[in-house]
Amino acid sequence: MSISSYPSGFRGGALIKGVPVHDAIDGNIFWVDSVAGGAGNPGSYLRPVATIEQAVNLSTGSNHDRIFVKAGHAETIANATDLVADKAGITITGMGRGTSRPTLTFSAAASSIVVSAADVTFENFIMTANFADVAEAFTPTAKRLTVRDVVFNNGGTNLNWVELADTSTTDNEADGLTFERCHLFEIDTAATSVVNVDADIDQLTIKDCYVDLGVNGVLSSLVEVAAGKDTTRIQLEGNYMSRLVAASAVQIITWADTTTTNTGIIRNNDSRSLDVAGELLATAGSNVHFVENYTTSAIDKSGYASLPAVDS
Amino acid sequence: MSYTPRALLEDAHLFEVFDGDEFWVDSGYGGTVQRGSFTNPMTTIDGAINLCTAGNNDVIRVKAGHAETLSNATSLNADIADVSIIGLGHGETRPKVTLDTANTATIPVTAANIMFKNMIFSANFADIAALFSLTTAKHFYLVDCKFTATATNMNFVDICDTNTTANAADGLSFARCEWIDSDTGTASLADVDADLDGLTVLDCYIDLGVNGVLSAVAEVIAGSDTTNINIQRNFISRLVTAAAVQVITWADTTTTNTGLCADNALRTLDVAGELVMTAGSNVSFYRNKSSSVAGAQGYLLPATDS
Repeated sequence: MSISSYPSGFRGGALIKGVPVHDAIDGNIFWVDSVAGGAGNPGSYLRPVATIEQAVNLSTGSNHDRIFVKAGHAETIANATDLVADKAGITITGMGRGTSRPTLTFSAAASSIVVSAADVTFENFIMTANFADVAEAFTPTAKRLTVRDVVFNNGGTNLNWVELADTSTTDNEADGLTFERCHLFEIDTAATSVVNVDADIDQLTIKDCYVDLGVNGVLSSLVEVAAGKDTTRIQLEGNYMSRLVAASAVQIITWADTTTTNTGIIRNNDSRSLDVAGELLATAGSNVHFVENYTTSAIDKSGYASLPAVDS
Repeated sequence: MSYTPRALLEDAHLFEVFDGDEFWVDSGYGGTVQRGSFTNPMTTIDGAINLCTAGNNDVIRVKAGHAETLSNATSLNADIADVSIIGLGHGETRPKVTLDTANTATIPVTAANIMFKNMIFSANFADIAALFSLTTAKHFYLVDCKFTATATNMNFVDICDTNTTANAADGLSFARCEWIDSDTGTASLADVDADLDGLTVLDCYIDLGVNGVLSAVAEVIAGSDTTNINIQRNFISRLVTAAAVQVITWADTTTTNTGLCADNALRTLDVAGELVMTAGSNVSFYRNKSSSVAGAQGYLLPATDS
């Protein structure tokens, strides 16, 4: 069937079958398809480019451009230069669901998506670690990277993620880093945390994610923060985390050292460990606010809400 | 609330961004030319599926009031990958698919990433074994669907029945569905006959007749595991009086099972030995409330850890 085309949009709105539709797209639109796309194409729906990097290169920074990646698209990230998100404000959206979502396969330990411009969003992808100990999916060197509705899986046994995002050591460079509704299932014992924080960070947010990791010492599932670094206005909410640490479990976030500079909230998380005696949600003395978190370390028991103990 | 996949949260929009082709279905169409367009729709869902291209993320829109009857296991084959079949209308005006004539009538699902959304499925024969029979069918989604019966003694036994190939039905998901059937021939939402990863049941209302001590959400065959299950915010009622296992039964359990079961409201008549799931399942439990007494609030089940 044919599809109507309005390449310039319809500013002021259009009446389609009696329904007013408003064109809220204020940037350019580009399409990516590894099957039908080509490097020299304009990136239109009918003539897409073949890789996300090609679409990023067509985009304009701070123009709110959007990149749609067609269902079934597949590409390999072989290093830290294949895909560099270096245009501010772009949103890269995968189409499809289940296994038809676009798949990005990371094929080396140093494979990573470098995000060097602010306000970049990736949503609705499958990202697969197909090499042992892929260090991180994202290397954010800019503020407000958002990763939403992404499944992080692996290509087989001993092929694994170490982290999903690793910040640099420059304070506040990755402020606003956000993961929402993502799924990380990684039984490999080299997996560390969703985010490795090596600098001060403000407004780190992880919401509504499902994280099930193999045991790696007593590392926390969501965040590890380097010594001397603070996390302000942190929001860790609505996540499910399972990591079967048997003793000294710090289930959500560990600070190498803590100060009262830390602020934020850890709320409505459900967690699972095997530590029946000394389990914590976060390093003691973090200064973060806790509300309605549930944890269990026993089979056939419901999570209990008094961790940390209830204030009165 | 923990992790809920986006694909299960999507609301209906008049206009959507999608990258596939669109086809229409309307049983009330009286024309002779069926192209699958809005003005020349197909008259059956299977006819529209046959127009789709695998891997193209196609959408089939089924007009409100559409009705079709399936009398066997071949009339409607969901056999093209990545197709969304979306009903229009609400309440009883949603498209209705009725299964009749034989208890072997079923909809085979033999391709990945298929979704039925906003439809009514009605059993018009006794003990129809399975509404959907899943073979190579990863990420099969049922969203906003109602499962019902045309008359007394007409019923589905299971809504989905997997085959015995491990992981062939991974990602099987139900969201905001309703299954109310007092027939004692009803079994479970999913009959799991192989290892299954990512079984998801969210925000469903399930009220079934008593059939031994079968669980309402899933029965898992011996030797099979379920990983990363996600069972949240459902209401499940089945008035079993003893040995009730309300959500999932594994014929045998291992610690290979993983996932969570949270914020479900459960109802039985078992005042002594009720369970949420088979003991030793290794699933994590949070805030599930069960009641077996009329007029009494649900209480935390299983008991709280400390």
